[in-house]
Amino acid sequence: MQDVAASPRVEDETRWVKCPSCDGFVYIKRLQRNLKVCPECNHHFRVPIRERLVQLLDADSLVEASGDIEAVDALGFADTRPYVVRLADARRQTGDREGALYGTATIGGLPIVVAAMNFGFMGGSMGAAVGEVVTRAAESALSTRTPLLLIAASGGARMQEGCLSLMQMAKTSQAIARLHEAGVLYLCLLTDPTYGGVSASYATQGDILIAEPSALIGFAGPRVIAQTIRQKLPEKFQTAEFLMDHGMVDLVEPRENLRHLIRKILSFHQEGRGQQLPAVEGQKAITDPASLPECEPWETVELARNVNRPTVLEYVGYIFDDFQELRGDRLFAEDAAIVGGLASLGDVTVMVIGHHKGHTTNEMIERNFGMPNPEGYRKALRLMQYAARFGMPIVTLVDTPGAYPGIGAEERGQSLAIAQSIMEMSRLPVPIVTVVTGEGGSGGALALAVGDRVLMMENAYYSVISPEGCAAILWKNAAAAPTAAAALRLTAPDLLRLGIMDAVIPEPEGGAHLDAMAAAANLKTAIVGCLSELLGTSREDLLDRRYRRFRAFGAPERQPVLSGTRAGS
Amino acid sequence: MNGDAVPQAQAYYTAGNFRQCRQVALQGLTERPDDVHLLRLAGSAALELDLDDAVTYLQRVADLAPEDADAWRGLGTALANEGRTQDAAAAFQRAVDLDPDDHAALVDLGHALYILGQESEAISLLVRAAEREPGNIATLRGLVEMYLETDRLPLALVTARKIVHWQPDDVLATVDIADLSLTLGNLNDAVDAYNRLRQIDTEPLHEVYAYHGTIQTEMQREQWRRALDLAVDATRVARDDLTTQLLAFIIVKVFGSSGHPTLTRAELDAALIAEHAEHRRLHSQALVP
Repeated sequence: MQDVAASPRVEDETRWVKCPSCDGFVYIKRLQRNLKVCPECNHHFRVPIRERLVQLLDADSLVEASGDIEAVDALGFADTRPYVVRLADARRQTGDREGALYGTATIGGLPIVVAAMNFGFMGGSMGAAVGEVVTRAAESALSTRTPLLLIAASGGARMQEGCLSLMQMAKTSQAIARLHEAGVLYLCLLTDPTYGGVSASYATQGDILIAEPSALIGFAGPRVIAQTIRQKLPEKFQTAEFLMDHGMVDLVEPRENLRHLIRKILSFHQEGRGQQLPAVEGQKAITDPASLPECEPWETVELARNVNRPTVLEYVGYIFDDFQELRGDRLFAEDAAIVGGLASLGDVTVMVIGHHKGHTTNEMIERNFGMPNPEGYRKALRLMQYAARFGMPIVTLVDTPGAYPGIGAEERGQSLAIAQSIMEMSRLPVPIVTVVTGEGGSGGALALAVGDRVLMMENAYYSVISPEGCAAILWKNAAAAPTAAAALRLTAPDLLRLGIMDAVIPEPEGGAHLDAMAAAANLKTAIVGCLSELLGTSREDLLDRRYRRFRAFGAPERQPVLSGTRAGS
Repeated sequence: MNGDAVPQAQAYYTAGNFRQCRQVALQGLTERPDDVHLLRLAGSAALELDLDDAVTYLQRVADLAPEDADAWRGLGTALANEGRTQDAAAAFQRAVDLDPDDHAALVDLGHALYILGQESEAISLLVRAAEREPGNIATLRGLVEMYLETDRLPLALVTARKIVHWQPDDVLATVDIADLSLTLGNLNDAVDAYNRLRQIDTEPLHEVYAYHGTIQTEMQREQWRRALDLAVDATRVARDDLTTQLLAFIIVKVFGSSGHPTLTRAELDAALIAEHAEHRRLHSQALVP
């Protein structure tokens, strides 16, 4: 009998692991095959740093650069054990010199600088060496203009290094600030757990924050908070999902999708991406008001409000490739009434942002009927500033009855959010194309509509106030809305004559809702047409022309005046 | 070439070069498709490489060598890897039937049956496995988990002690000994185990867990003065609210009032139970390979 493999090599190892979430036993190889995600309950186990890098990076692509970095006991610190003993133990247990490493690598062939934290090494605590790793990684990314990926896992600052540890928050943050200024992409992957001085510095300073499901992320630990405030904490407090609901992270993504997701984001940011716009087949936008049919304004308002009219996400699906939604205002909440994200239009990466209403009652409730709260506008502004940082054109699609009139919205500064968005948009040094696709409800619409080109769909409307609101105030009768609609001159032909619109996008017979694909084709043609005019325009010209465009409204002898009267009695 | 295929593939397998092992085995199988050794190597390598055809090869091995316990255990392993627990249990059962002393097969069958809800059978299989390899920590840990899940706390305690017998610095087992001794009223043992924890649980901020356990033990004994000393001492390592609440509660017991709003005994016990569970979870999670 020859010596053969008697059985798989797991013989003397731990072969069954108990899942801390569902309490079930999982066969270890099955768990590993599933990227350390429980196949029964989807619990994401913690992953050691090397295993994590194998999961994310191209095979054998990592070239480590942090070999010489290791902690120094600058304070001569000892608690119940000397710091140097704790360090020696951690090195022996993990086989690593420190709690983080960095190097260059590729993901799907695209180059990155990666810095990864090792929770197994003294709880991923951040001392001077970890700070040095992150700082050097950022400096390397800056000098080569290569995107930086940080993988965070930490309990916080390393107490044994005293104030030196605290200073790493400033040291790393200033290096990250340079990346921001230079427009070099910085991605953060937040894994369980990410706390304290790490979450309060470089781990949450990314252009995009991605978190693993159920990862615990916060400043103070939940136990400390619960015992301080003596209240029961909300369910899922400080989980990745909780943070996303509160606008703090862009994405919560299962482990199996992370590599693909990061690859996709990197591809949006690839240096030397072309400026080639796609070929288009739709009808051209109309610039002569006489070519547009004159409809009853109230009928237009009703068409603009038709629940079957294409939503922003539907238009995005028809027009763009590889849309990647980004969420959150990083201040208070995620607002589903506004969606935004990166998308490809031919070779060009654009930031697409729009109001979203939905079709069904549930969807409309979830989207607050397309009426944003301040956090929606703050998210939109954050994404527009993101686009400006990376020189990406912006496309905004407007479809809102108006900003949400609510107590919370006022408490959180609805006016301020809109005002800020209008002002900042006027100075963003990238092309902005705005299209009113449905309802253009007042300031809530304008907050996304300070563009270099402003267009509207044929059956959209744009107004300083809803016809019902105007009728109630001026006619003292909401039923006079159709009359008010006529008086407000809110339809495409009139707005084109007034110069508010640069062009009007034709809709299929009967309205966009009857043939969404054809409407989208026309919209795409218009967007591509506008961008082909704007791309390549210098920053100074862009800002100057945008200033003059809005400066002209209502200026004596420059503002077109409509003939006749459309108001009823 | 074919005559050398088995030792060559075996050498690659032993060296951890599973890709080469598989390649050589598959080449050999083109000429000797029923060679059990080559099939076994191809299947085992596929399992290591996380390939989907591991079951196919190992099933063939079991079909060709139905009296070979290793063949059935290999198949069970591949099936467990695919989450086919019922089928895996059947294969492990065949392995155990053929070789009742096969420790690994006993452990695997035990876990598979546990997942399938046959808890008592599962436990008796792990007990048998532990008798055959008394120092196998993984087996003992599995047994502790099963005893805890099925509320057989005295048996969990005995098994945790066995782990500590083999590994005196095992933190998770010592946590279990401490908490279970407290729960079961073995208060002297609980104090010893909590004191031991203070020496071996070197994780930052973990000292408080041992303090709270010891304080809880003294409270159970109604040794309020000793509990007071410990609670005062505990504030040295943790000024968290639970320590403060414990201190306030004990002060009321000793002096009659504390000037601090106190939790009820039931509320304190609930908080401490949650804290023990959290402490155990942290150490259990750290052991996942």
